[in-house]
Amino acid sequence: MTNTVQTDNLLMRRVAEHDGDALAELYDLYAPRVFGLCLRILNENQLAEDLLQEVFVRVWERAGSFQQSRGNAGAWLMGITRNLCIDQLRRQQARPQVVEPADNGVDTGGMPFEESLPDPLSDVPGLAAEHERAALVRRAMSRLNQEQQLVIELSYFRGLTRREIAQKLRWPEGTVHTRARLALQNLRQQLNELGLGPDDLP
Amino acid sequence: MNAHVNDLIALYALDGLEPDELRRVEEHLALCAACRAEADREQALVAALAASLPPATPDPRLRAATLARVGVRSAPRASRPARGAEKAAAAPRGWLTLPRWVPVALSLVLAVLAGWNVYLTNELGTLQEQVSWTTRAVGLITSPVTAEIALAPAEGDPATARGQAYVNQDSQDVVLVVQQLAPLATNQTYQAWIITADGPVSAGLFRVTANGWGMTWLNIPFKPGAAIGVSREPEGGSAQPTEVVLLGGL
Repeated sequence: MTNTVQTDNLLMRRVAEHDGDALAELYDLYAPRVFGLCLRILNENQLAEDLLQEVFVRVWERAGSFQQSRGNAGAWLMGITRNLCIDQLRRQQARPQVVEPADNGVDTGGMPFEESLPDPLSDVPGLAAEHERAALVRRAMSRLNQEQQLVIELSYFRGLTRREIAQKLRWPEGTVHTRARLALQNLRQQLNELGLGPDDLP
Repeated sequence: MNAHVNDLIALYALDGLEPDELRRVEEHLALCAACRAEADREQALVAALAASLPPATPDPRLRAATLARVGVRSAPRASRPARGAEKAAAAPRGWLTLPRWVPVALSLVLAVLAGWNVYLTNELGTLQEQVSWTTRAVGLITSPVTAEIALAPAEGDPATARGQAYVNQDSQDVVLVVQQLAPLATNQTYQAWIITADGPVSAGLFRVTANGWGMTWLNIPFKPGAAIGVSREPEGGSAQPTEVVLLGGL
């Protein structure tokens, strides 16, 4: 776990020095996850493919600003992915005619947390721990109540702000903060109950 | 420690703050190590959430295209498999040609060793239907083709009770969100209705949390021009609404 973080942080440092092999290696390690998050937020293959490339171009340009002291390379990379996707989503919403009417989000409303799990038969033993951790996090998420899931979905995965969330759900504005706090608190508690402590998080 | 800023940290980690709030939090974090530690903790949790999503394998051609965009010639693939990627490296072929079933058998042994993992996989199938359901509801609520119908209290229920129906104008699917409805007795249920000139048709049963909050997909499509109602009913629901508590129509 810590090794993974250290390895990735070293890799990011090499990317910052514009080492092309390091970027290729980072791509091989993270492209499936980055693409998974792009698909989840954008819900459209072509856009997700564009954003996937955008993310690694951005990483190439900005790796120098990656501060190892706070967070780790993987989390930083996923953060960039999320932010670029949300920017894209907002651009789309500003020009709604771009959105295909068929893309109504009902049948295809983003890839849910339970989306087909990796086939255990094709698992590589070295990755079992990571799969297991991801599965536990998804499971913890599924234990939150609807209000808590909603506030996470709307803010993090849809890029809505506090006022927009309050307006969409007709919640009093003050309650969004409280519900966000309870959501993360409960998520952490569920993870603890499932045996994942703070040190186990990437 | 600034108690007020502390309240904003969760939504800061989820990136849902308003610009003025964001400025306040960032100014405070620059000065307060305790809040900074708290923010790091929450951000790590949110990052774990993002990292827990199922990975998806992109079109292999994108790799070279991406590297070309920054002027890097496509390097050979790393021997390490991708983080979270599900594919094992191809079994070596050549001088040692094993029967096809051998790798499969080995994998089966591995799978048995990781037995609880398999168990977890099965259990997840059901546990996470709820998350999928919420995700789909969020998709509808935030969709540009969604129309909203406000539901107001009918007589008899607390005046603060409210509801909001989100109607997908293409598919006519409806998500109903209610708040501050009165708590139910154990032998009661709330029932949703779609009401046309022909009368009310049941659109499903649902319950609410202790603070009167509930969300449900209606189990029949909306009819343009119809009204939507919510009634309190005995367990199992009724053929006609008994006690209407919320009502609204376009």
